[in-house]
Amino acid sequence: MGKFFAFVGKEFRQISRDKRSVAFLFILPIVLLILFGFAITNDIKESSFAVVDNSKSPLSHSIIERLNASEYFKLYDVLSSRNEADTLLRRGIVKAVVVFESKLESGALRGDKAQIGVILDACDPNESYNLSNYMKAIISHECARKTGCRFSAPRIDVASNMFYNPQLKSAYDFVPGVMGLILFLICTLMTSVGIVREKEMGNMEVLLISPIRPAYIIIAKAVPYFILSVLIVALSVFLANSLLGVPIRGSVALVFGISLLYTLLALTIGIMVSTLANTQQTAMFISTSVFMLPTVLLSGMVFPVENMPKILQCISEIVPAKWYISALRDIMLKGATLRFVAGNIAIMALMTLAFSLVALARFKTRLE
Amino acid sequence: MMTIEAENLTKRFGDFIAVDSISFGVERGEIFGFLGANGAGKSTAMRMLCGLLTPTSGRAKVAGFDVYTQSEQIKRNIGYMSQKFSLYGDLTVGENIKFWGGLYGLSYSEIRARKSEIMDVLGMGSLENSFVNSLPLGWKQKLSFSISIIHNPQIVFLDEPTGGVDPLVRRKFWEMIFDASRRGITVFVTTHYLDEAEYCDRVSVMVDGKIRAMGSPSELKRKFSQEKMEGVFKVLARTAKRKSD
Repeated sequence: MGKFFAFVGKEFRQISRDKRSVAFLFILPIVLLILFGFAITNDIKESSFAVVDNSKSPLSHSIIERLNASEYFKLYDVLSSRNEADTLLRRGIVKAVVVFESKLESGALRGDKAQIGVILDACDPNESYNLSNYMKAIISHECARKTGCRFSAPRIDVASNMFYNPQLKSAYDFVPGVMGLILFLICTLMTSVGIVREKEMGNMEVLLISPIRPAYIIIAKAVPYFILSVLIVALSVFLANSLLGVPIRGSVALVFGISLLYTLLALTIGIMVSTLANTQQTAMFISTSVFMLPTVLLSGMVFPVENMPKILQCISEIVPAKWYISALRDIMLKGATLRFVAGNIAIMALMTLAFSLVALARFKTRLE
Repeated sequence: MMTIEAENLTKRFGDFIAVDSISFGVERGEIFGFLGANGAGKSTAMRMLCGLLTPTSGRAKVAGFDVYTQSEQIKRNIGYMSQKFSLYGDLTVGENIKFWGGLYGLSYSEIRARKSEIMDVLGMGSLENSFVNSLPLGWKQKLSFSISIIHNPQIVFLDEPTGGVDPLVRRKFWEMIFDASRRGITVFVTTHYLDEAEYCDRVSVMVDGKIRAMGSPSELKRKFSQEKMEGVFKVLARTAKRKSD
């Protein structure tokens, strides 16, 4: 065991020498969490808008009031002409302009198509899409309230607003994704590169000739990354909860438990990659292209898996991060219990077993 | 007493016979030079003796232990230094000594004692906290050699230990080898510097997986009527059919 600890000590020393990498590992989750957390919440807060009110009716006034009172919009000014509105939009002073036609009230009461236009600065299509949806929702709601049920909001697809429910949820969704990605980065990428570095430098042979058991070498290489991962899980959960206000509705122990399992899974993948690659570059290439890209693209971290073509949905089933991220989401946001995520846990455990068997088989043949 | 004994030791990789039935013995404290062109099978033979590769056939004992069944005991009783540099450049001199000492199961106090001894011998007392990367190559190699015998092994295997350094530094390195040999450590060394072959007590020359000549440098020179080992080597290497890689 003394030999094992000598090795772990050396690993820690080497990792701590590489201060930039360690700093990067801790700063990355902070930056990603803050970036995605706040970027998404800011988009739909207090966007300024202007109004061209040709109808000057009680209905238009109440709509303007409603919009201004919501947390998403802030009235910049009431303008007298469309030209002024164009200038404001072009200068980027307002992000939206609402135009009420003169026959608004009478038309609406008759059940005609009411004339309300929304003009958006669509430089940022995503943001504008959000804005227009919120705006339409508020306008149609107000129209309906004022004119009674007879009024059906013109050109306003109320139904789409029910599907489209980003609120702050996208930010919440992102936290498990960021954790899945970062743990993968540390455990798979750094572990595989770390082990392959020994091979590439020619140290592995000297290490194998020494009396330490080969399995101990591999475990000793993984230990520091495992401990780093635990710290980063704690940091991410703490930041998400305190800074972004992401709730942890399930048990904290379960959050950590499933994160540790995923860490273990990512480590075995890293070890397996290290048995396949002979150079650090190959290890990096396999880790990023075969394992990391699918983690980002297919795990549901950025793009919802449900919206993907069938074939990609099938592929996403074998992406390890998918199972972690969906379980973590369920635990944190929905308060899922152990029983609820047992399936995810079983799949991750099986994957860990499978990858470690491959790694073990490859490692043995390598020695010959 | 022989510390290394090999009898008809053979290693095949598929159809390729890397090491073809070699037999030799090395005595305790002897400096045994293992010569051969690239691809002659030196490294494969050495790996079998170190317990890294299982031989296909034949018999070999290293430090009294069988290479088939007792590779763990062999590993504890040998030191190894590779042509590829085996110290960690991002660790300091002291940390490297501590790591390799620990890996060979030395206690903390043993490591401390050996560390000050090594620093004294190498005259590097003030460099304990310098990173190995900052040392000149010659010093790195001397340090690497000192560390490879930190656990007082019976045998030390040196795989082209002096690659890339000038003759003066090599000469100093060989003084360390002589010193180890005087202390009773058997030295098994491969090299492609043929002037170094002259320093060995005995040498063997491998061609195409077989040992083609073995004896003391003076014996071999007489036998092949050459003035230098370089000439002996050239005569033998000319018979090679395998391409060097």
